Amino acid sequence: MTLLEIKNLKTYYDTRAGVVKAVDDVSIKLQKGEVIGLAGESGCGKTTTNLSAMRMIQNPGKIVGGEILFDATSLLNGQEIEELEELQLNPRNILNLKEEQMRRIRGNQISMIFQGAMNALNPVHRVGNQVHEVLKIHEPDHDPAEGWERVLDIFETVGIDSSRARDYPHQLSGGMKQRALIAMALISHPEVVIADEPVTALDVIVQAQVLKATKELQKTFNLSMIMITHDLSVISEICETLAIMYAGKIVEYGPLRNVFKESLHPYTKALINAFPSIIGPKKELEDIGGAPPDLRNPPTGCRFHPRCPKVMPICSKKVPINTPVKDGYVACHLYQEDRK
Amino acid sequence: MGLWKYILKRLIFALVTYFVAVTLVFFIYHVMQGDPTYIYSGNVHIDEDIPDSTRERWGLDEPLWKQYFIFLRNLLQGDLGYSFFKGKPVMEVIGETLPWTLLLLGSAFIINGILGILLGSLVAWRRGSKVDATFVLTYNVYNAFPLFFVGMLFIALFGYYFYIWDFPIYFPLLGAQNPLSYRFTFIQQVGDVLWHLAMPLTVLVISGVLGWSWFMRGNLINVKTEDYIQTARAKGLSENQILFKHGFRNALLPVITSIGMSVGGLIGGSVLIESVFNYPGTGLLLLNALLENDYNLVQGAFIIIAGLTLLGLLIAEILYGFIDPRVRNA
Amino acid sequence: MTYTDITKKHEKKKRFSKPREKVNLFITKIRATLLLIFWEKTGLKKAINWLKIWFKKVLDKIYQLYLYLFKINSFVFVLRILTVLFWLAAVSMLLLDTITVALPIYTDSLGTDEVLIKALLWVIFDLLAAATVLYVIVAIFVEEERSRLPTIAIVQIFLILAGLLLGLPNSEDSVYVGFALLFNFITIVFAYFSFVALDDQVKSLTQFRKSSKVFFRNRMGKIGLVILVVLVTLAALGPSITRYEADDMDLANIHEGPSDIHILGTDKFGHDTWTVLLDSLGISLLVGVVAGSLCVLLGTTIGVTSAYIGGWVDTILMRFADIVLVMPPLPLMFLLASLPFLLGTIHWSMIAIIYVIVFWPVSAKLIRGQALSLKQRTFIHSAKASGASNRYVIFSHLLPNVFPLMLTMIITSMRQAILYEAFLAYLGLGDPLNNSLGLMLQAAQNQFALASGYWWLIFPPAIAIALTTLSFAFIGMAFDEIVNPRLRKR
Repeated sequence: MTLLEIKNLKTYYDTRAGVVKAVDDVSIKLQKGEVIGLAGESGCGKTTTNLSAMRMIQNPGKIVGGEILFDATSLLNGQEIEELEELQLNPRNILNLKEEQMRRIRGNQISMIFQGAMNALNPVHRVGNQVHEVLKIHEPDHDPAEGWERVLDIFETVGIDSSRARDYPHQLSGGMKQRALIAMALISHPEVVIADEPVTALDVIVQAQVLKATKELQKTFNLSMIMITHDLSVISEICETLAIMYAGKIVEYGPLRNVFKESLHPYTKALINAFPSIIGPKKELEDIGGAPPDLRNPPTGCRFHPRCPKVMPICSKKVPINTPVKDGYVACHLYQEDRK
Repeated sequence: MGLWKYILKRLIFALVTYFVAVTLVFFIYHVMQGDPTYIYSGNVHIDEDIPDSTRERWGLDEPLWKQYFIFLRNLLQGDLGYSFFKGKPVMEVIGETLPWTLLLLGSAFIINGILGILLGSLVAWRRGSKVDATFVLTYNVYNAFPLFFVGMLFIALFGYYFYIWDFPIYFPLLGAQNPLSYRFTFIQQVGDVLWHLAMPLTVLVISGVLGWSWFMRGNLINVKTEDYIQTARAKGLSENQILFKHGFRNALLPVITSIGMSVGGLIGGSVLIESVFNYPGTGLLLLNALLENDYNLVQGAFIIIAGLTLLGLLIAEILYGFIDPRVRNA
Repeated sequence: MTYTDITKKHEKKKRFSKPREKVNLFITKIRATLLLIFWEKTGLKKAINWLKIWFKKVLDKIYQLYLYLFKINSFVFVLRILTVLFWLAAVSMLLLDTITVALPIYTDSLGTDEVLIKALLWVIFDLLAAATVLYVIVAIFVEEERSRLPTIAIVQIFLILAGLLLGLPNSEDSVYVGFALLFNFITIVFAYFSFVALDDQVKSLTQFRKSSKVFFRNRMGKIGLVILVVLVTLAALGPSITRYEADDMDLANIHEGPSDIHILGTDKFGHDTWTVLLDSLGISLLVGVVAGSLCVLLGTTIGVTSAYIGGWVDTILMRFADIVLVMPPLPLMFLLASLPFLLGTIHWSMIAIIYVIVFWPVSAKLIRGQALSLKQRTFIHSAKASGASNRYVIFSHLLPNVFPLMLTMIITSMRQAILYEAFLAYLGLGDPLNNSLGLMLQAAQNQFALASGYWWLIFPPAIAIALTTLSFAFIGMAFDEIVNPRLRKR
């Protein structure tokens, strides 16, 4: 069952220096219980894609095209659905919802795990209260005492001693802060969880613990997740499906195993080659020459062509379309029929 | 526990600071001035014996360090010396003016705080809008003019020209109450005091509110880019909820720190305002004492004003301890 | 001709010149003896050699400088020339001060012994300050010394200040010191941008260009700059562009409104308001610039020292700053202004000094905060790890990074200083001998200008103050955007 479908999403930032096409024509399908990893260099549009999915793009950013399909009709009352249908708008496309309706979805059915090393927790409120706040917003008439019990429960579940719920963020360690953020995302039993670099900036052991906890939680709650990271080892740990993004576009998409073992797109290959493998045979690490393109005026045709080792004349002329391969697709002229 | 320790620490710091301030004032006057009674010897208003009795009481013939301890002892007893120009003890002279300063400062302080923070939040949250642009311009233009000039304009317009043009309402040119107010009923007296207070307070409040909201605006703009604001947004909070639950308190922290600092500035402002409006407060007293070379009075007034500032600072710091958990547990 | 032919010919020649060889040998011997006696024994050879090497070195340096200057773009080149010129201007001002004001007091034996000693010390400090220019010249040629230029200027300022303080009772007429301070301040800014920030990395150059771009993109910054330039030009031209002198009294036209004769009317003594206004504007600006910059410079010195040394030095300095900070500023200024040895001689420079004494903690605390956070950064650690001395770290890494914040604060501080000067003058604690905007307002108030309808006495000075402070505020806001990118509009 498809839970969340992002279709041809376009998110642009209208800056003084020009329009930055941060996300350009991106499509992702998230099934129930699936974990999609979204990988790519910094600034390739991973976070923007997911903020768009929650409709949290701030000025000067704007979603200029595409659809985000998510069935949130249970949160809308009949009248609101009728209103949307009268305007011939699809109530399942959350881009059609009003801001107030969207807020009912955020943190309730779609929630987000932020990077805990940053200032993602408000320093002046108790951690428990910040988690409890989610319940207060989305279940306004719940019993506060019972809600607090649930907060303590979820703290235990994610692996923090429940006595720490009355602490302030500065009293927690980095790993605990990250777990608290996971607790915050999970307390309302969301259908979709978006994790934005959840273990970056944690040290390796804590990283492993948090990842393990996340994986277990994902299994127990049968969560559907999108995991953003630039660290491929994290993705291989937890994801089933992998999407590789480059300069605002998804260049390769498919089951983890396929993308890793039989990667097709030259960028994917380069990205994987740039990561050391501890178990496998030692090999020379290869860096990708050049720098990511300026998204204000990206290269014509395939955006990777200036850095591509297998560049062909057509690459700079025509935007490659998504070519279906085993359970996924790749956007590269190498695999298209009409390349000659 | 942490909170009490913090409060105690701030209290000790305030006392030490006060002690240093008092010492400074004492030495500035006694080292530079020498015998404070000397310059009054020709003053006809003063009873002939007073300098002698003062010399004894303040040990002016003793060495300086002894004088200092005598001064401290007298200060602890609430004795700040004798004002030769007024012909009264300094404490009494200040006691007459202090209520007016407290009234002016206290009401300005409260109004500034509340209105400033509210206005600042409003303009910061509507950043880039017309409200914001108007605010930035108003703030800069108003603050470009010296405070006393605004006061002068107010007096001329609302005090003088309104009276001349027979407006239904005009404001007094000087003073804090009608000299004949003892004949009034209580309600009339209160009204009279408020009527006199209106203009100085307005001038002080306009600049204060603008200043505070400017500061609050800057803080909120900074806070708005913090990560926890995005976390709150992802939880499904509305923009107003984010403002009040997450942005406000964090932006308030530096504001509260600066409340303490602003007390000094406010007192400075009140000195200006008191002198423009001839409002009989401690600031005006200090200024006049200075111009009349009434050193004991200058010393006393400064000690009192410094005490007020420190008190304000202490209150602000204790408030800070209540709001910011990091301070308590550090 | 073959090779053998040539050798033969040579041999012939050799043979032919044989008798001369003896003579030659003799001459050589004599020369060697003479040389030994006069050349090597007297050390002349050493000296000449040393001179030669030195000369070569200098030529080398000049060539390097030439290369160096033209490697960077013409803008920086001009800036550097200006830096040196301003520096020379500052020094010549100091010399002027010494020759025309300080020395005559000493030589003409005016006043008591105390005055004489003070005047002598004043001369000495002035000359010491002027002597720092020698170091500047060295610094321009020696690359390692270059990053210290702003610091030398700060030292120079302190020396001038010491001289000023010592010679104060006599320095009422000396405007030179003020100009020297002003020039020094400009030099520091220029030296920073042209020598330090751009010295070793082109990155800074682009950084500088970027910053100036941000500055000029800000409309307020541009407006502020234009207003300030106009005001400074007016003040600098001063009474020379009006028909009167500031103290001229036109007793036939008292309390006259604006007319052809008096553009902005006259006051009750018949002073021409427009002339007095320009005169006052100069003094007010001078107080603002001197007090504002000195305040922040002192604050920076203390803040950086405190942050860098840390420990008990930090504790003591910051506690002291706290103590000064919590005292009410205006009453404290009253207190300082009323110090008996100043009474009657409140020169404008004294107001500047009082301002510095009262307000240095503000900048010291802010700069300390910035310096502390910089101290934790990797590049400081890496500099230390690679064996850089403390001095090097402070002057090459810490100060340049603190500089933008410093500049913003200087602007803010100048604005505040102008206002405080006006406050003090209005309350009757200013310099009664020189015109100033605050004094004009006070005079207007004393003449009941508003109630009597003499609007031309009160609005021009008020608007002049407003324009000055407004321009500083606008420039400050534009600088703020450079320092704090969060404020930038995207």
